[in-house]
Amino acid sequence: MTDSLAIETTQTAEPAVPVQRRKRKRMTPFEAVKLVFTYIFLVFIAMLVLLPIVYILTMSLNAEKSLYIDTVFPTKYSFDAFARLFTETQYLTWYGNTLIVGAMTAAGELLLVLPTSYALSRLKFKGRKNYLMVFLVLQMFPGTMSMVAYYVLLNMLGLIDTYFGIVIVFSCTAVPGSTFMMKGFFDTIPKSIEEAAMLDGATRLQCVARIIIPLAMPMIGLICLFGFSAPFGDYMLSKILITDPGKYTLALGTYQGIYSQSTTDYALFAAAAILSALPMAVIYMILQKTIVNGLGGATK
Amino acid sequence: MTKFLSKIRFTRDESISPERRKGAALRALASAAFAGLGYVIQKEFIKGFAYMAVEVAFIFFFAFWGAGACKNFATLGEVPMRDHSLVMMVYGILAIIITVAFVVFWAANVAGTYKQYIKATGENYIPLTRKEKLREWLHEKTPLLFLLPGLIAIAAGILIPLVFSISIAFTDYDAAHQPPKNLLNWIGFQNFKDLILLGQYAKTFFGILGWTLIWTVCSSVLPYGLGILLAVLLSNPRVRGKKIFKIIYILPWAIPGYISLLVLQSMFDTGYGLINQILGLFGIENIPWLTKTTPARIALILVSIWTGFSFPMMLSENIIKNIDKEIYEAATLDGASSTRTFFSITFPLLMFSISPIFIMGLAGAFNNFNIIFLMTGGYPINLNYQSAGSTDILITWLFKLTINNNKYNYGAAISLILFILIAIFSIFNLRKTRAFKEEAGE
Repeated sequence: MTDSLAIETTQTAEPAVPVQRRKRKRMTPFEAVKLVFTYIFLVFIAMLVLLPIVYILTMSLNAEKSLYIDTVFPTKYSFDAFARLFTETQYLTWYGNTLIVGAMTAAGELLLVLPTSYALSRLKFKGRKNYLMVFLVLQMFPGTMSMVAYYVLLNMLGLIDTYFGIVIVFSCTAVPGSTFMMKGFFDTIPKSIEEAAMLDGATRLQCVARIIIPLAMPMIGLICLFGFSAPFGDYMLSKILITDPGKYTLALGTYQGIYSQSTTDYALFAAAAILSALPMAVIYMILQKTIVNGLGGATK
Repeated sequence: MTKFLSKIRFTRDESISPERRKGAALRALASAAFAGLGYVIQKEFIKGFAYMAVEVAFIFFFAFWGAGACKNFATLGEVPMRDHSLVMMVYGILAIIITVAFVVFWAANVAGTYKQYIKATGENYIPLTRKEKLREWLHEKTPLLFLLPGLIAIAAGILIPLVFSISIAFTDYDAAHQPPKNLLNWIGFQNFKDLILLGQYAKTFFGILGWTLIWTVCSSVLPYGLGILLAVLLSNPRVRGKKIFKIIYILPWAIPGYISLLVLQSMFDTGYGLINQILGLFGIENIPWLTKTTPARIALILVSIWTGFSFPMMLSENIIKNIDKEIYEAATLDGASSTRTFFSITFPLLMFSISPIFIMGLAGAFNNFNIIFLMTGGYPINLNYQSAGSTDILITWLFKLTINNNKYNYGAAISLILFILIAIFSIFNLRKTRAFKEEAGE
């Protein structure tokens, strides 16, 4: 739709150059060949992308448990695997754990990130550049590097196998990166709005509550989303900090509890994979524009 | 003595008379002797007594707890079972951090006393009421107040664990030394020497480092290359069905990483995996993906492309869309071909905008634990390596040494090496990014 519109406007914009117009309207043989190859390449990549997704969808509906089948795709289909997921494993518990940890991480991260990034964006103080530098460098370190330290420290505090312990690790390690993104977004909000409000007698806190936060809603949503998806994507830290199968997150449960048995019951794993991926995939697809703008803006 | 005092200066203002300098330095010295004393002499009682209270509190803390904790940190305990070396290490780090914080506070108090006196003896100085003073103080400290939550989180969640890990790198914490049964000892740079010089470990370390670098470059350059290529192809106005292509191409990014990795891993299985079944239709039999070094490495890089090309594609698409159309019109009017406009306009602009994000992505690829761990687990086993396989990168080797072999000290030493490599690399690069230059220009 928008593409055809774009062509039309360029055509009407250049009626004075007939050569140009003909060139756009009719393809040269070279361009036609190029277009054909473009399509072949695009379709080829699309097929490669879709292959694992279609595969796992069909496998989840496979009536036979095993992967050892003669045909590439199964012959008999049923929803049996999904039913077994809820009755034979603790899948729902793991799902609930992940949602709780995700929500707590999002909330905690936001509370830590908002004031800090506001100060870095709006307030003048000594050493601001140094803080930025430290934040930028710290965001590059994965939690893996300090995993023994996390285990020992949380063990000392009695926080192994608790939601709180893993939430602390997730939200604290995300602070530098998120702060930097949030600061970048605050920078794009014109200072003149606040200055005008302050001239009218608003205090700084009122400015934050009534102007900055409403305007920064897209980025706030984004930080929440990243915080929320942390337990969905992390396997390693969760493995170290959670030992009780009843407290597993989805990633941990899917791997430890279901994937490890996938050679004998692949359909069960396929069903778990689909249900685990679906909500996140839908959210990310819907919000992709906001996310890309947010991430791109942070480093500009 | 007086000459020396008038030489101490905390401000660059040359118009200040030597007498005022001397007075200020005297009060600063008083504050140096005991925090807040200089303020009390200036009759700034509230601030003075508050600072004194902080110093008293610190003295109590240090006498009753801090000094012992620091000593334990140095010895790591004397009696096994009674003294837990790791706990002592953590308390020691805490005590050291508190002490450093106090020293910073003390230095600020000395400089503050000096400046306060210079200000109070200035010509136009009007003494403030208590309320005004409070307001001024609050105004001064607002940035710190706002920064505090983030700073505490970073200190507790990143800095302390990091310092703790670094400390472990200098001890003999391994399977044979497990607190509280055994005490730990400081062994200096021995772990690093072992990793870099000791036969088997050194061979493993350098072998893995080499593959880590190849992996980092391949698993970031190739996905970015494909992503940029797709975005450029999709920017051709003649291509139809762009929306459908885009939705498909974004899928790998939207699906949580560990799910796609587990699915791909089962697809790469030699015996029953889908990929070998499909290749079998073309007469290519049983490629040992994941069990032989070279095929496993190729599989890993292919998987990194599959999981990683979506994001650069979305970014490049965004950038191409935002390039001013008039530039193209001007170029076409001047007779430039589409190939020429691409290489002279689109490509340079794209590279300029995407390179800082790409560089940050490099650090991510360097530490991409998930792909390696979930796909091959570092296997196949390499007989020349010490507790590592042919596809292990530094971060997965670190994980194995720690979890499987209880070589906590070696794991921590590798952590520290990673830390230094990433820090040097990122500081070097971040200095060049625009965000930083803008900050510097302010």
